[in-house]
Amino acid sequence: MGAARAVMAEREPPRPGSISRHEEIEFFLFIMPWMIGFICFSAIPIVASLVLSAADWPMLQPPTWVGFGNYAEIFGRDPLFRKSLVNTVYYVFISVPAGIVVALALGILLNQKVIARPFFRTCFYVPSLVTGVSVAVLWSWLLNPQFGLINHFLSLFGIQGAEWLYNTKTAMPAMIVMSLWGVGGSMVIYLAGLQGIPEQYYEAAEIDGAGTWKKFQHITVPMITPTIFFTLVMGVIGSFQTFTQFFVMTNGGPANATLTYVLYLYRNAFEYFRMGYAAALAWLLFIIILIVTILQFWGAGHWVYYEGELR
Amino acid sequence: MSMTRRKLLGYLGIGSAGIALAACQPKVVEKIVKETVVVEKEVEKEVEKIVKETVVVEKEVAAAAGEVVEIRCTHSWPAELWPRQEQFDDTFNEEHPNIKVIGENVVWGDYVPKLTAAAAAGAMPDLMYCQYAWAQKFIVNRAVISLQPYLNNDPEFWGEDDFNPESLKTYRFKGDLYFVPYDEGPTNMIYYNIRLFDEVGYPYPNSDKDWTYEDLLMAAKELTSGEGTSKVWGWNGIPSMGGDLNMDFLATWGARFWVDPCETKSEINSKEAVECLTWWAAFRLEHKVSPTPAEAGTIPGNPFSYGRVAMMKGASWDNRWIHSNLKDPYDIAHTYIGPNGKRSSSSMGSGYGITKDTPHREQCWEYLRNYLSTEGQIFVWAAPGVGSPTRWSAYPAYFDSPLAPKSAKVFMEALQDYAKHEILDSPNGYEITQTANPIWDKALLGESSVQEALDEIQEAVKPVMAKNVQWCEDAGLIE
Repeated sequence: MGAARAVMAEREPPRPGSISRHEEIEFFLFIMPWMIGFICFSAIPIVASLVLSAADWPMLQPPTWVGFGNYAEIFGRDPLFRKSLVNTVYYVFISVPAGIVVALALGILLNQKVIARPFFRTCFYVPSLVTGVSVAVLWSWLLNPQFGLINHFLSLFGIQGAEWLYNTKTAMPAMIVMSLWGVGGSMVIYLAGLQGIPEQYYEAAEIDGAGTWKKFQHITVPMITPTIFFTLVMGVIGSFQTFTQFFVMTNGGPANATLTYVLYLYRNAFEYFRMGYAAALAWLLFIIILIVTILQFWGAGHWVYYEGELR
Repeated sequence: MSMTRRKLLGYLGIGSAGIALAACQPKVVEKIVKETVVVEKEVEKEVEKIVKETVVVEKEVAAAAGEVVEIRCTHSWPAELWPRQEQFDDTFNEEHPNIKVIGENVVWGDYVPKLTAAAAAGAMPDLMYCQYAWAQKFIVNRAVISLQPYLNNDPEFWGEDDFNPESLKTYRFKGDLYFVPYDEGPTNMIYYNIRLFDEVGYPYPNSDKDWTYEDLLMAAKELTSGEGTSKVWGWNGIPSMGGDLNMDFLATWGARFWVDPCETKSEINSKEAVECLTWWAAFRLEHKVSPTPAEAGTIPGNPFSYGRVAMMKGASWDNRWIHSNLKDPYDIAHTYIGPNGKRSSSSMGSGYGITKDTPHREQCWEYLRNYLSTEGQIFVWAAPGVGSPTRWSAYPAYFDSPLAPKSAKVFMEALQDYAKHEILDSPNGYEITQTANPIWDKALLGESSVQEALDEIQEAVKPVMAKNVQWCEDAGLIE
């Protein structure tokens, strides 16, 4: 111990704001596992996919360079690209706002002082923990035209249920309804946002004679706009990439009514083995999501309010 | 192309001369240097190839010296058949102490993606199972080797007369065979539920007379009964735009979807095709004797295997799951006679091949010639009653199998008489189906007329079929 102290004493004290070489090494050692994982499993594949998007690669033979050929084909003579994009945009534009409204409504309801509040919160959150194929199979049965609970419930009110996943007009709406299964996650975020609103704002509004709706409109909503914006951005990105439920439940049918963008991408990659074409589709999706996200951030300046912000 | 030492030295000499000239004429030199670089790269490639071949030879020599060679073979069997496969491999390994076969069973849906990814990663198995629909993709991309040299030198194994000739069609490329098939079955047989026929008192298919397509419809109407969850349908087997469309549906109407072996031209909207498919669509839309997808979706499996359909169109291999699920007695019959007065059916199957990068080709062939011998086909395929083998000599064992349907002989009769291997088996065949089916769905849902749907399909499949031209030229099918 004495020797160690002596060595330490001989070292120059680190300059303010700088870190010693020893700390630098420690820093890099700590981040190394993540860096290696990121480089091997994210960065290199990303770059490789960009290169592949300019190639024709059936996987069984080396890729051949086609330049912008894949992109030209996508825009020029691929009707399914347009169909899948339209389907996906339809899904995004309905499911994301619907998810926000339902999650916010649940958040507000479960923020009230009611009996067994933690129990109800758990009940509404638990479904979001069950995801993927299991949810898809579950909903396939819920939406079954003859045995499904949804049509059974409708029949109690004398309503003839739809064929849901087997009809081109009802298949996508059915998938959108199903997407609400996972709103529990957003609900928790909204709950946190709602609990962060200072109580005195409501008290002051009440003194001024504001009713429930006015308080919601002028206090609750403005105060949770950052939360709404967060769920909107994440929801849009996630919905553009939706795949599993569509793959398991409809595989794009009937008549391509539920052919989503990523499902079409998957088909090209792993059914037609057009890996270069699929990579081009993937990069186009990235660009689309990037543009939509930039637009959202640009628009956020007009309606998102951050505490302490000056305008 | 092989590389002799003389040739190698020649290339190196040219390279050295190029470098020597570099000191003289700048422009000429630049050109020569460029050419030299190209030549050097070629030399490098040749040397690399020689090294690779040497490694292969060394490995084969090692095997010959008594080392145990491991070969990996991928299959795609249903789980219940896997123990039978393992039994075969164990016996083979015992009889061949220098070879150890390691079988790997891959789930059907994952098979092609997995094998293709393995090919891209240079990790293909030594031997591979292959279904007809994928074969040309693996062949044309040189993922498997020609088995013709082995077949030519192995008359004991290769009695071509013993193989159903239709079963070999898909696996040929420029005259060479790349996969050896193990099964070939007709796909347009009539499976019928004896209980449901007896309940109505209707004669079994072809028992009173040779059924025509109109007799089939009449029977389907008679056998359809009930409503809702207790409904029984007379027939399950509406056409899709799949590989069986030509021979199972269109042929007897004088129509075709793809009209050439190259699958480059479609006539799906011809008058005859429209008539045929309108007649079939009416099974579901007008007569309601076939379940809609929504109705079929209420049953957790094929409606026939749950006793909810009196007759279904099926292939020989469908017997396996019908036998294990259907509680009622059932049998099979020849297909109906079409408008042209003839019966028609597709026939399809699967085979095994040797992958191109395996260093153990001889050992792989040794396994294949055992596995696909008459005894091998009997053990794995025919005796368990799984389906119709491709060797005629294996049929008696199939007929004797307790699991084969009572009238299993009609499979063989169909194959000998009218079943043809005219199926969508080009490298883009699956994409043709995937393009056409969603459009055909609209007609089956009543959202468009059959004519409109077929016109749309005709246009939609054109660019996909056009992609087959190159393959066809390579395969020597067109000049």
